Amino acid sequence: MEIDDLPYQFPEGLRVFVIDHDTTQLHVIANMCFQCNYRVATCIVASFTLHLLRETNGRFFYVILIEAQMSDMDSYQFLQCVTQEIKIPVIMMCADNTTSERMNAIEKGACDYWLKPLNVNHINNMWQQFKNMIKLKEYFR
Amino acid sequence: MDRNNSRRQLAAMKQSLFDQGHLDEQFIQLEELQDDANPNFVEEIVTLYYRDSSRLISSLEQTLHFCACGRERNPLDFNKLDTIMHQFKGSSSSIGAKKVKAESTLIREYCRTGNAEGCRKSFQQMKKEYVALRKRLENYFQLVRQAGPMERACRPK
Repeated sequence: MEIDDLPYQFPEGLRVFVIDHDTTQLHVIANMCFQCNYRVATCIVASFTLHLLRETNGRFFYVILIEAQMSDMDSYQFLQCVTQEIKIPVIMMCADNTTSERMNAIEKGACDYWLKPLNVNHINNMWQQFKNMIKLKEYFR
Repeated sequence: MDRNNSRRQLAAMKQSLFDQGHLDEQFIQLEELQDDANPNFVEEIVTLYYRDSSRLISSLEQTLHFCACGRERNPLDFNKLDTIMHQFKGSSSSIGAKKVKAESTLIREYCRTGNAEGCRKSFQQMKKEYVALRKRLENYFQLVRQAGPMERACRPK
């Protein structure tokens, strides 16, 4: 199915999971997603999110945004598990802009690596990054 | 009349915060997320930031202080310091706290080069900037509440 065949209101209703141990940043990012009419779930803990995704086989979410330096678990570990087992696009976010970190993320399967602070354009345009990976059938269910 | 005065004062306060480098573009991003459905968004986020950052500053003080006192002068745990600073930098930048963010970057540089004295001095400076910003924002939002709901300029989507 081509991206042009999607209903005109896409990507409204895009289901995003945002993971960040910092509640200030979590709220800001979640609100940016609300502004784009996405449906957002948030969590301050990566390990629980991974558990949830495994239990539900990633059925309910289309994309995950995760802070690169989570405190409860290694975000790159999370990244590898999700991309290998659950196959949902993962975008890493970080306040650091080192090429090595970015390369590491992409190599381990991240869809993209965003420098914080995010602005609403990141959120608005993100679906373009992984349009081929979106589970289109699920979207129309 | 009073309301107009409040609004003028508000505009001047905000302009000054930008002119003096306390706030950057990210603060505007937050303002743009504020709407009728979410009329106090900016103040709520900033209040959340005060709560988070207070906790982080306590952690920082503990990390810096613990290593400076006691019978032996323990080496500073630069890794721990850098981890806390990473989060602090992230949340400060998310509300547009420009000077605080700059000082945070400096502290992290000192962590990377293992400069304990640099860390401590920078931390003191960062704390100063943080306290100054917080005070000004508290005054700003007090005035926002007094001025009442603002007309929101239409912005093409």
